[in-house]
Amino acid sequence: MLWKKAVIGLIIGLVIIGNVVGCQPAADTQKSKTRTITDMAGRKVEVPMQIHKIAVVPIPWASVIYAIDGTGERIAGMHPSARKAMEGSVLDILAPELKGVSTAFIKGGFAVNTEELIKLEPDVVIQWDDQQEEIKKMENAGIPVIAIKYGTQEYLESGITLVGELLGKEARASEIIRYHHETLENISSRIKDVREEKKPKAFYLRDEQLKTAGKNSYNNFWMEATGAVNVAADIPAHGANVNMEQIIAWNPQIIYISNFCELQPEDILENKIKGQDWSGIDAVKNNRVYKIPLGLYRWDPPSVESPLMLKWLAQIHHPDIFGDYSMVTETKGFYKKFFNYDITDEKVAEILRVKK
Amino acid sequence: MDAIVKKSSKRKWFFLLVLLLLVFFLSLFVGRYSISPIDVWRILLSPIFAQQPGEFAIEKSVIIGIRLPRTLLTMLVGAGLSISGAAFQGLFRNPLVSPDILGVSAGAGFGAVLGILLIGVTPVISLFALPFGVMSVVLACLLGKIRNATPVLSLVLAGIVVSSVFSALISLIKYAADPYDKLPAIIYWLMGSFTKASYDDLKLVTLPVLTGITVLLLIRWRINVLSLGDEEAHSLGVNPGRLRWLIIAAVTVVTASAVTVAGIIGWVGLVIPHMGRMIVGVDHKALLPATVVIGATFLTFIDIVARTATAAEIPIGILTAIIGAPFFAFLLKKTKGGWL
Repeated sequence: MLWKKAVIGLIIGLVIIGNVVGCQPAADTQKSKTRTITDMAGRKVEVPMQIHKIAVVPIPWASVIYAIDGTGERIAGMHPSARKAMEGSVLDILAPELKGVSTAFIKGGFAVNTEELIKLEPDVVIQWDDQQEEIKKMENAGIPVIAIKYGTQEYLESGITLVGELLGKEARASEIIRYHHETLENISSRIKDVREEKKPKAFYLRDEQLKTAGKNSYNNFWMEATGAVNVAADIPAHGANVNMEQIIAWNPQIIYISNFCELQPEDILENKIKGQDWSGIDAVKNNRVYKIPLGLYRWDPPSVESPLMLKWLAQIHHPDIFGDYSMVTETKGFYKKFFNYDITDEKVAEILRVKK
Repeated sequence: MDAIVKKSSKRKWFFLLVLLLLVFFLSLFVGRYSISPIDVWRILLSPIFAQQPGEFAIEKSVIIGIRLPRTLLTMLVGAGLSISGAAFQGLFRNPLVSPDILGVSAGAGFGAVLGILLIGVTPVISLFALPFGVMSVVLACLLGKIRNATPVLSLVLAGIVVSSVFSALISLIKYAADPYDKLPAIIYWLMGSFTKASYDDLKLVTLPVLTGITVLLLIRWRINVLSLGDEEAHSLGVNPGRLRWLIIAAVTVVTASAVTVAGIIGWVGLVIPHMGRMIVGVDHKALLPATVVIGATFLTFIDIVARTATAAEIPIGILTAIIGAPFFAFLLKKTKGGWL
């Protein structure tokens, strides 16, 4: 009997000791002075004066941070989908240091595995502002989180400014933003007199399940900003699934295939998708089906290369108004100016999928 | 008395069949792409009245290529799911049973979702859905095969277990999927939709579904006998054990096929049998054929709404609940639950 009690007592003792030892509060690191930054969700976040390591959860932002920083050295972790997009992109060439960056801390969607994250020892994490539980989780682990918002040109620019402040690269950030503004102003001033009837009808195809972009999407923004009309504009959401009959009813003149899916223009032009007949649609009859380019990153969502996207679109929509530049020159100029990189003509043609 | 009863039931059948025909034609006439009714008739009758080649090319593509296969498919799936629900409610002697109870929807759903994750949204995922659907039912049957006084109850419990496991596996796959690419495709697929209805889909499922429906129709009076209990059934010359497996097999084939082409559509298998009972009574001889007709009509009508009401397509699983539930509540109130 007694030994039974002794064993139980021993087990309880071990459990208590285990708990105490395992749960030591994190030793107060000798942090250099910190500063307070207000992120896009209005939160005041304390971050170290010098940022050495950043973990980036949002997919396009790895390339944006690279662009603002001029190097990928400070990026300690990125989203697996961003890594996938990197393969074969210009980012692969410009930033080979990103190849070894960890993606293990993302565990599905935009959720974060806190322990993996801690292993990376980031000074700060960038996360979407709507992932509130994730943000709380990371803060509880003692890692400062900067939240950014998604979806509009304004958010993109605020985000760039914020990251510029974070990394001490305010000058570069404002240069990028100035490029965005100049491009947008240039394009909108030239199309402001274009009449509605002259605006081509465009359709954004997100995937084979006929998902498209509604009025509130960034895709809608870039269509309208470059003088086209989004046929799906009466759908108020960001994105929605439609059926083939609706697409036939809309009869778009241009189709843009998202770079997020694997579809290629040939799949639409040659009717390779079962159960869908695209042959009667204007865009197919006139061979105006385009795959959205991928430079540093996909050109669909708001990113550093958005001005290039706008210029590309403007030329497609109104070649008569925007015939004074060549996309090849513009793209080469962009990479030279911001990354001091001489991109080859072949690579540019590959990015823009120039039709032979 | 017999003559009066027969006459009123004949009228009911006439009404049901006319309604089905009306909905069938409505489905061909209505859609997001406007085609005038006269043009629709001309296209439908085009094998008889020749037309200029190239005339109405787009309209033909819409009516013959999009609306017709979709209508046929919704009628097939609606009929199949409804008769399966009625058969199972008779088999399990429980009006709250749906065809999913043995896990076939969860299993087939898992198979399809796994296919989407590994390959993408292609017709190949049907090859994944069907076997997994069948496998989940086989598992449930093996699990439920306990020699005790209520084999039906143990089957139900086994079905719940298998359903839960496959539902959990579906969640696991959703978790692992790329949030920009695979995950939206998976979620949309799970909500059920006939968007990609095509003749290929019809070729794939018409035979299994029609076979299952025919089998169930042929044995429908024996389901009445089942409700009397196993001993009574034996004394009336019906082997309850064998009958059960036959019903389960037929329902599984029908439901797995339905899930393969349309995703998981709830409510139909549960509620249409009740509507049937309200109209023709609880005798399975009349009930099962009635559910075939009512189910086909109901699902086709809902699909018309799903693809026409707004520019964006509404997942049909959502609509069957939103439209079906209030309508069912209305009928419940009106007949004061007289058939229950």
